[in-house]
Amino acid sequence: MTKKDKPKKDEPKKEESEEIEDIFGSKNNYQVTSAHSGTEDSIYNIVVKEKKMFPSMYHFFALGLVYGILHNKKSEKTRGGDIIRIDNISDEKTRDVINICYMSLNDGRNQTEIVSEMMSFADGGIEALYKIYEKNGSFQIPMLIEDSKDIWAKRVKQLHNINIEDL
Amino acid sequence: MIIKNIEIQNWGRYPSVEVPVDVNEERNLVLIRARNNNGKTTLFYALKWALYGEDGLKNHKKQIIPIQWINRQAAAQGDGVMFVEMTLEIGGRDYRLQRTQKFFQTNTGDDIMPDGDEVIEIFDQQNGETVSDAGKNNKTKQNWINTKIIPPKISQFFFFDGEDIKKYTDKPEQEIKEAIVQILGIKALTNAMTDVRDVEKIFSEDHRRKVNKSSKDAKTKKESEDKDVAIKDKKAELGRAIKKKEDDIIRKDGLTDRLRKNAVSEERINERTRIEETNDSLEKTRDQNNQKLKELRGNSSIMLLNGLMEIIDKTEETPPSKDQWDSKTAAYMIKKKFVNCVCDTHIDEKILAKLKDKIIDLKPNPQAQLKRFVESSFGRTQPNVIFSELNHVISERVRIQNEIDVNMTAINRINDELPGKGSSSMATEIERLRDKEQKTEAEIRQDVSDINSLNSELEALKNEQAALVKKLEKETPKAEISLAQKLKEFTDNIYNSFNIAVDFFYTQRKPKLEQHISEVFLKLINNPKLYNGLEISNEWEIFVKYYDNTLLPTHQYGPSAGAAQIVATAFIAGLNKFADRTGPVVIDTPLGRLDDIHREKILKYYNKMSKQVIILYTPTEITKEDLMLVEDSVKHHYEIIPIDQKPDLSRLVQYYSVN
Repeated sequence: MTKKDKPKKDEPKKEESEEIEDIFGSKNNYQVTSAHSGTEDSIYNIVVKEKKMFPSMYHFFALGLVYGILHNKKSEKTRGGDIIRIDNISDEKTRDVINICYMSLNDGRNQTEIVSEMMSFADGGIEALYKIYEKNGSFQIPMLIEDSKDIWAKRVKQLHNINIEDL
Repeated sequence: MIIKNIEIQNWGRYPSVEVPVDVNEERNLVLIRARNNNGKTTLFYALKWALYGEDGLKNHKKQIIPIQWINRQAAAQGDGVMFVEMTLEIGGRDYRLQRTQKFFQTNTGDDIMPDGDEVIEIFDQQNGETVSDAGKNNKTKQNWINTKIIPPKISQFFFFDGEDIKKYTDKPEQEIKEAIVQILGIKALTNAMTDVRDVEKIFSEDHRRKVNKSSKDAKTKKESEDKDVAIKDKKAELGRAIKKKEDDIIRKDGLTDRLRKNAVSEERINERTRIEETNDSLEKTRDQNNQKLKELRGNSSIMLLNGLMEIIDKTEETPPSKDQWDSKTAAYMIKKKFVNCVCDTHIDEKILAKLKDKIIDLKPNPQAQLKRFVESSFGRTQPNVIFSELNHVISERVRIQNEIDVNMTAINRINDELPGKGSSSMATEIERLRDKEQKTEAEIRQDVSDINSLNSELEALKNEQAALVKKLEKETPKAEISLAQKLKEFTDNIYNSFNIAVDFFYTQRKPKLEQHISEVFLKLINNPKLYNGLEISNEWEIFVKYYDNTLLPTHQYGPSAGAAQIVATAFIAGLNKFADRTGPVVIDTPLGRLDDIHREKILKYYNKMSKQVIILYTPTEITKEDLMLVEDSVKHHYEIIPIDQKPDLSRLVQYYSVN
C-alpha cells in the first residue's frame, strides 16, 4: 500500500502503516546510474560490452549492489552514466535481489534516499569487483559466494531492517 | 664382416660415444641395455646411417633424413660435425668407415641447416690410407660398401627391429622378394642368364649375316635384308618404348620417394587434422559453456545474496504489538461469536462495539515483509541450485580448456616436427605428388602394354627372319657358317645350364633352406607337436605346415604377434645361413611381444644367428634372470644412460651385471 491509499476519516482507526513501499512500480521509476558507465573506458563498458561477462548492464549492477552492501563499500563518485530505468529490469531474479537489498536497507528514510544509497553501494561494489578482475583476470565468483556466508553473518548486524535477536 | 668399434659424435642424443664391440667365436654377443627414450633406437639408426646414408633411415617412423638426427644442443652451440665411424673387419682386413655431415649453428627450435653434403671416408687400417678401389666420390664409395659389406636392400635381414620383423610373415612385397633373391645369390644367376642371352644374340646375328653373305638366293637375301631393316626399326621403336618406360619408372620412383618422405609428414598432418577437429568440437562446446556461464554469472547477485537470504529466512517474525494483538483477539472473538470475554465479562452491544473498535488494518511490519519476500523469493530464484550449476559449468570449462591446451601442445609439437611447420601448402603438395604418381603409374602400364605389343611384333619379324635364314642356309656352303653356328649353339647351352642352375636352386637348395627354417621354427615355438614346419613358395611366401600337412600362409596364421615373430626370426636365420655373404646381426627390441617361454628360447638362439650379434634391449625385455641364459656368449655389455644434469643427452657405460 502506498501513501495515497491512507484510510479515510470515517473508517475505523487504523494503525500507522510501517509497510515498505515498493521500489518497482514507484511513480519515480528511478533511473539507475553509475560513476562507472557511459564512457568507452568505463568499467561497465569494459566488463559488459567488451568482455561480455554479463548478459546486461543491470546484471552487473545487481552484483555490484550486493557486493557493495556485503562489504559495506560505497562510492562517493558522482554518478553520471545511465544504466537502466528500474522498472525496465525484466529479470525476475534481479528484481528480487534489488527488492531484498532495498528492504534490507530501508530504515525508515525516504525511498529516494535509499535508492541513492543503493547506487552508491553498487558503484562501491563494482570498484572492488573490478580490482579483483584486474588482479585475477576473473571475478572469482564461486569464491566470493563461498566467502560471503561468513561475511553476511557479521554484516547483517549492521542492517537495521533484519531481526537479529534470535540469530 | 664384423664390426669392431663404433664411434659417434653429435648423432641424436649422443654428443660423443666410442665403444669397442669386437667379438670372438666363443663370445659373439654384444648387449646394449637402455631404458625407453634413452637412445637405443638412435644407436641402431646411427649404424644404419653409417653404412647406407639416408637409405638406412627410411624405415624410421619420423626421422628419415640425416639432418633430423643432428644433436640439437651441439647445433645451438655452434657450427659442428655429426659423424658415425665404424671399424670393420672384412675378409680378415680392418677398415675404418666414416660418414660425416657438417652443420651450421642453429637456434634451438629452428630447423638445423646442413653445411654441404655428407662425406664418406673409407680407410685401410693397415696403412691408414684411404681405400683406393672405393673411388673418390660418395657414389663409388657407397658402391664399395654395398659390394664389400651388405647391399642396403638385404640389410633388413641383418639390421632389424624385433617388433617390426613380423612384416616378413606378411605376403612379401616386390622389394622383399628381390632382397631375398639377392641374398640367396639367385639374382647373380639370373643376371648371368641375361648376359648370356645378350651374347647369344650377338652370335645369332653373326650367323645370320654370314648366311646372308654366302647364300646365292638373291630374292630371299633381299627379303632377309628388308626384314633386317624392319627388325632394326622395330628394335629402335622398342628401345624408345623401353627407354620411355625406364624414364617413367625413374620419374615414378622419384615421386614415390618424395611421397615416402612426405608420408611421415602426411601421417603427422592427418594426426594434426584429427586433433584440430577434436579441438574445433571442444571449442564449440567451450563457447556453449561460456554462454551458459555468462547467463549464470548474470545470476551471481542472487547467489551472493543467498547468505543474507538464509539468515533472514531463519529469523523469527517480530512479535506483534499490543494493538495488533488486541485487534486479532477482538476479530477472533467477534468471528466466533463469543458470549463472554476471556475475563468472563458478558459481551453485550457496548462491549461488542468496543471490540469492533479495537480492530485495526493490520499490515506486515518491514521485517516481516522482508522475511516473507525472502521466503517467496527462494521458491522463484533457488540460489543454491544456481550455485551448483555454476560450479558444474566452471569445472566443465576447466576440463574442456585443459583438453584444448593439451591438444594445442600436441599440434604445436607436430608443427615443430614438420618441415615448413606443416603449412597447408604441404598437404596440397602431397596431393599434387600423389596425383602425378598415379598418372605416371598409368603411363607405365601403357608403356608395358606398348612394349609387349612391340615385342610380339618383333618376335613375329624375327620368326619370319629365322625362316628366311633357314631358307638361305640351304643355299649356303656349311663350312662358311659352321663356326658361327657352333658359337650360337654354345651360348644356347650355357643359357640352358644357368636355367637348370636356377631350377636346381628351387628343387634342391630351397628345400634345404625350408628344412633349416623349419628346424629353427620348431626349436623356438612353444608347441612344436602342432606343426611339421614351414614351407616357402617360389614367390617367397611363407606357409605354416601343420601336423596333418595342411598349409596356411603365415599372414593368415599369426595366432599372436609373438608367434609371428618366431616365424620371422626362423626365416631370417635361414636367409642368413644360406646367404652368399655374412654380416653382423643387429637387433633392436629383440623380444618384442614374446611370452616368457618364447623369450627364453629365442634369447638362447640369437647367438647362433651370426658370427656377431648386437642386441639393443630394454631392462623390461631382458631381465637379470634372462641374462643368465646368455652370459657365456656375451663379449661386451653396455648400458645407455642419460648424462648427468643433461637428461636429453646419453652416453654408453659398461654394464657389470653379466661378464
